[in-house]
Amino acid sequence: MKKKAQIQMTETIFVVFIILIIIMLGFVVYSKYQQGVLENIMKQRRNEEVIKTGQRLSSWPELECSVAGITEFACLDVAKIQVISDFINESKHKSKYGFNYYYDLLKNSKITVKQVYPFEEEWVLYDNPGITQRTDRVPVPVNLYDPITETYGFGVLELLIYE
Amino acid sequence: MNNNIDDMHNMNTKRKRMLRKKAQLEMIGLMMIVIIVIVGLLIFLVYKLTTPTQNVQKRYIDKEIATNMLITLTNTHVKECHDRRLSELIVDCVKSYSAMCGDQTPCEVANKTIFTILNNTLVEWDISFNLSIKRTDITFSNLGCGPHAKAKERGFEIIPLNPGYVEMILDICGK
Repeated sequence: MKKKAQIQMTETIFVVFIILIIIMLGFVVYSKYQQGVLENIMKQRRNEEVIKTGQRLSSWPELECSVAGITEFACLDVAKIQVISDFINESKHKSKYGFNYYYDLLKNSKITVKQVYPFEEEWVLYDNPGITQRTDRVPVPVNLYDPITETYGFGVLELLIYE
Repeated sequence: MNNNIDDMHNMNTKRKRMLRKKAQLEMIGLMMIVIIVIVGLLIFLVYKLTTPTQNVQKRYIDKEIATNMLITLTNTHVKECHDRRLSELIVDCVKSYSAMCGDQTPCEVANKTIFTILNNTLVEWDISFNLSIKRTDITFSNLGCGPHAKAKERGFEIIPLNPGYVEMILDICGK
């Protein structure tokens, strides 16, 4: 009788052990899946930040298109882009205060403006890449204002954020 | 005496059979528990993997791209038509004005310009989209983003006419 009870106890322990292993396996698989989902959400959130930064950039006085003091939405002035791009590059190489000011705002990132229409052209506005890229390439469509011809072209602002 | 021994032997055999049957039943019970747990886990995993996640961030990005795209498109000046805004060309196209851009109609120039811009942006980025301008024949579609596509984000722009208006709609479909 004692032996039978011992066998039954072993059997119960065995059943509980197997169920525990299955539950643990399920938990591991589920946590791995959730980890992937969370990483994706974090990446999307950072991409969302890129769009916000892109829109903020178009309201910077250094870049905005303004006619009679009225700022236009999602528009960059081509003349200002060239000036600021040269200024940032120069102050980066000479380690001047100007670069530190923009570093505080843009950290480790790369900002490129590409004109798509009427002709193709590209400007690198700010280039200070870090080690690993944290965001996808999120393009923000913008108008590019040419103050000489007083016309608007079609362009894309790309901002990459690094660690 | 012999009868008693036979009875004892029969009882032992019966008891052994009963014990074996009980052990078999318990094994079946154990198997049932294991199968139920595995099936439960599988159902949960399949449900989780097949249910599309409502990704708010992705939707926000698509919506922003669609809206920005239409605003910048309509503000763009068209070189092939005396540097007039694309929105003005669309108005002329709806009103069926013909001789405004040299030997081409405003509809043709607008169509060509939109095609060039979309080809260098949304098509190049492999984004599934559908752009349509109401009251004109201008429609562009990429990667099977039709009117019946699910999970799409819409951006729209209204161009005023006198009287009425033209509606530009850009749908960005989820991958």
